[in-house]
Amino acid sequence: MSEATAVSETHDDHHPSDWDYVKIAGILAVLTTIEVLTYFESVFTFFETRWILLTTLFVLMVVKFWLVARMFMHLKQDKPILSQSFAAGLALATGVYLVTLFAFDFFFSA
Amino acid sequence: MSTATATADTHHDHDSHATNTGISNNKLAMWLFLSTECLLFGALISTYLLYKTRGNGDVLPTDIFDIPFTSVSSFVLLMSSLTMVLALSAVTRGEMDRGKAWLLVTAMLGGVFIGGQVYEFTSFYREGLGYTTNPAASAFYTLTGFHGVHVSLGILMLMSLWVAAQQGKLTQKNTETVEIVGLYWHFVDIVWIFIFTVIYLIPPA
Repeated sequence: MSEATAVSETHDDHHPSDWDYVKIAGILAVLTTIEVLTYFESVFTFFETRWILLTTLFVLMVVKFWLVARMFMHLKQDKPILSQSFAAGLALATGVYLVTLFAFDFFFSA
Repeated sequence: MSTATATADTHHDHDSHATNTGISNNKLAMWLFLSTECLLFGALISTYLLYKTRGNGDVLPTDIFDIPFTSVSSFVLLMSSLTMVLALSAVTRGEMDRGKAWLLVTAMLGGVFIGGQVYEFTSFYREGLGYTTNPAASAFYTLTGFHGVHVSLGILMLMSLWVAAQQGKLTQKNTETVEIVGLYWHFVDIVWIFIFTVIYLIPPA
């Protein structure tokens, strides 16, 4: 048995159905629509302060990121070492570049 | 051997792969590669954030963003992730014709995204925003250009899979190859989710 076959036989039965994937894509589309609506002035004024808008956009972005990684990239079904490998790079990048942005006064000057 | 150990061993044998990690080395390598890509795109995004207001009196990228147009491009790329996962699902089930069709649709959606980026770059250039116009422009074109190159490479990989499938070289046994290309494609989508929010949607202070 080849490696590829062994992998697919191990995990196939845990994967979501095609309909599940369509539903996830629908959720992603709705979240994207909400993000884009914040651009239009009539909706933008709903967010009275800038930090509420930033928080909303950031939360929507993280949820979309999480949905694609967990469902479409199958991190939910795969072994934890794959999630850990990816999370390590993501955490390192986040840490390094947040420090960089702080060092250049990005957050205080903006 | 105790009962508990025997149970654990049985479970391990059922779930694992013939490697030390219990998973395919190719798949682990792709995840590690994607992990390093976070650092590459992190550097490019940080650079843009630091330079985005440095216009030297010229036009800034944020002055001429066409959000409705970019929103459509983003939506197209997001839906290409759906078609990619449907292609993998079909190949996994051995439905090669359906798998080939979804691979082709994914590549075409990627092509539409790249076409949109070429249009965006062209219109920005006509409005006076060249690559060396100011530091903000350089950082913007470098970031989005690198992403575009990644999408283009993804399209090449998808078309290679499609050609292999046409020639009968891609079968249900090669599910993992499709999965690995899919991981790359979804990552490119994930990066754009970040770029779209941080670069395009967050308004200047």
